[in-house]
Amino acid sequence: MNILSRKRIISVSGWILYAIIIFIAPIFLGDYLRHTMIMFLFYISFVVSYSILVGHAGMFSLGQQMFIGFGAYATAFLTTQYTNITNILITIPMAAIFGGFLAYLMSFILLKLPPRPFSMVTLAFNFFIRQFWNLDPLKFTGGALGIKPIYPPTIEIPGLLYIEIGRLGMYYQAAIMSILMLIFYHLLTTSRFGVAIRAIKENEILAENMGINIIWYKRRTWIICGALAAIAGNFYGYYLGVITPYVFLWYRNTYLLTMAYLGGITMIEGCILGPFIYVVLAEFMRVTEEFRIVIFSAILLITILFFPEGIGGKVKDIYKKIRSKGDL
Amino acid sequence: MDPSIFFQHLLNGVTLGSLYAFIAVGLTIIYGITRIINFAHGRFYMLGAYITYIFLQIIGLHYFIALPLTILTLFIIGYLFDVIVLRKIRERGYVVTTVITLCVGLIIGNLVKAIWGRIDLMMHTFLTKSVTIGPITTYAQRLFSIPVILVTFWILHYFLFNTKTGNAMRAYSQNQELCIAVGVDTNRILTFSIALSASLAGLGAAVIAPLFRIFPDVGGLPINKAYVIICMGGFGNVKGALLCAFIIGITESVLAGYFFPSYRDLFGFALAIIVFLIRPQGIFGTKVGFEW
Repeated sequence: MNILSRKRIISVSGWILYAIIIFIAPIFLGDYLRHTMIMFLFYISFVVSYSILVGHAGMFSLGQQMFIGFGAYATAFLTTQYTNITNILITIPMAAIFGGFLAYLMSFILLKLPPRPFSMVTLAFNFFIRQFWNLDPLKFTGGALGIKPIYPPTIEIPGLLYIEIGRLGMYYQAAIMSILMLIFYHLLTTSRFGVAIRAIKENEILAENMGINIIWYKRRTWIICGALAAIAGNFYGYYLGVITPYVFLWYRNTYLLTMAYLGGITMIEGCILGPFIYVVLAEFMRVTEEFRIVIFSAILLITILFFPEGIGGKVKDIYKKIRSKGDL
Repeated sequence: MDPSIFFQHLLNGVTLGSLYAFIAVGLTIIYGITRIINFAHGRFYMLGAYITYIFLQIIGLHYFIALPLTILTLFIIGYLFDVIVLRKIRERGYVVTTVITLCVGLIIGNLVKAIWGRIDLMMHTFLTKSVTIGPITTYAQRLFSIPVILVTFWILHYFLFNTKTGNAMRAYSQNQELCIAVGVDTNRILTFSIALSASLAGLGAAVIAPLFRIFPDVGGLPINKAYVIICMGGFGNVKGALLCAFIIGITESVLAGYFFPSYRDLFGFALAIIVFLIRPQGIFGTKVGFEW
């Protein structure tokens, strides 16, 4: 493949333009729009993990929301209760390890199950975790009141560097996180690993006969996606400054589903488009929560009925049709 | 240990278990026959509770007239749910069906919340008064749930094994191609199984809902338990769902009553996690879909 082909130049310059827009945007934005942008960037980081899990590996989890909670709680434990570490160079790896470790424990049950039971049992885990965190029998989660405050993040290297990340810094933290996540997504899904998990999604028996170790790949996908969501959760905890068991509410997963399916669940562009449409719609629909859920459910319903590949997929289809007509 | 308190807790557990059983068995029938996880099932229970309330309190019918009317209404709702929503998406794979039932459930639930408001309602039947039998003092409504559940599941068992429709339902879940080949009207079977499940939820609502308050999220906690119960019992297994519903109901009630009152909801989920560790496919789980 030619490294300087026209298609590649367009796509790379598009991504660079996107990165530049993201980085200079806060200069022109007020506080409120900056908050909206931060949520948008956070959603991108979250949708990336879900897109790998559902779109590429075909593991339809309904409990991905809980890893956000694990990441945020790991951050909260570190910053407030036991130690006073606000250094993101420590808390991000710790959040990823916490999320990944719990994902690893769950994988022993989950990977033995066929697809439909798999999604049900992830949901069952979500219920259990919510009750466990809410009732707090072991006295470490802070119960229904949650943990507060989570101090603002810092970057420290002893004797070398000390930066306090303020409100504007948080924007750049989210921006860098989301861009690194997207790069990771690209690298993972175009690698041998990505091909293998897509093969498992398409035909498990054939994949096994081709010499792909299904359990090995599924376990790693599940753990990686748990860790990625926990990293996004780390930011969520810092940004909100308080974390309560509400983060585990299972119907919040529908917002995630809406975002992931709106954009297109198997595409990297979808990971940006979905959260973008979601955030814009949410801004225009500041009505009561009931109607918001009704409208988002209706949107998700229409999307999944008529464009199963998402709006991004539809646009790509139309583009391809126009191109092929032009060639003829 | 005072035996009368133990029996009290046991009775509460049986009531709770029968509530879970009414919902979980309907869910497991839908799963076993159509292979759809119906995330709108909790809303059937909620609608059942509201419809019972309308018949009892607003129209002012007698309880024993309101009960069959609720079941009938829910049967019609289940029928419409299948005809309008599920029939068109049956062949579309489990992600699509899951997401769509989830969306429809959220739409129904939140519309009811928006229209009716978040008001708590209580209904009074002629059975909501206390009776004393030996050492136990309880609501008559609680005692009423026990014969109802016995009769219901006896009828359900009879229906599934001894009638033509019931046999066709079981046959469809075992081998769909063969079932179509011998001339079973599959659309009718699938629609009937969903309507049947909805009416089971309606019966549960009519029997159990007078004991508690009614509010738009009334189906939320029981349906969450019901999802866990059908995982525990084995997917599509009616016997497993029935047994696990009572196990969870009684465990929660007795443990919460004696030891930790606030941890009631944790026990059921913790028990389910223990079962998954030992048998991930559920207690009676097999490869076959729908079983008694």
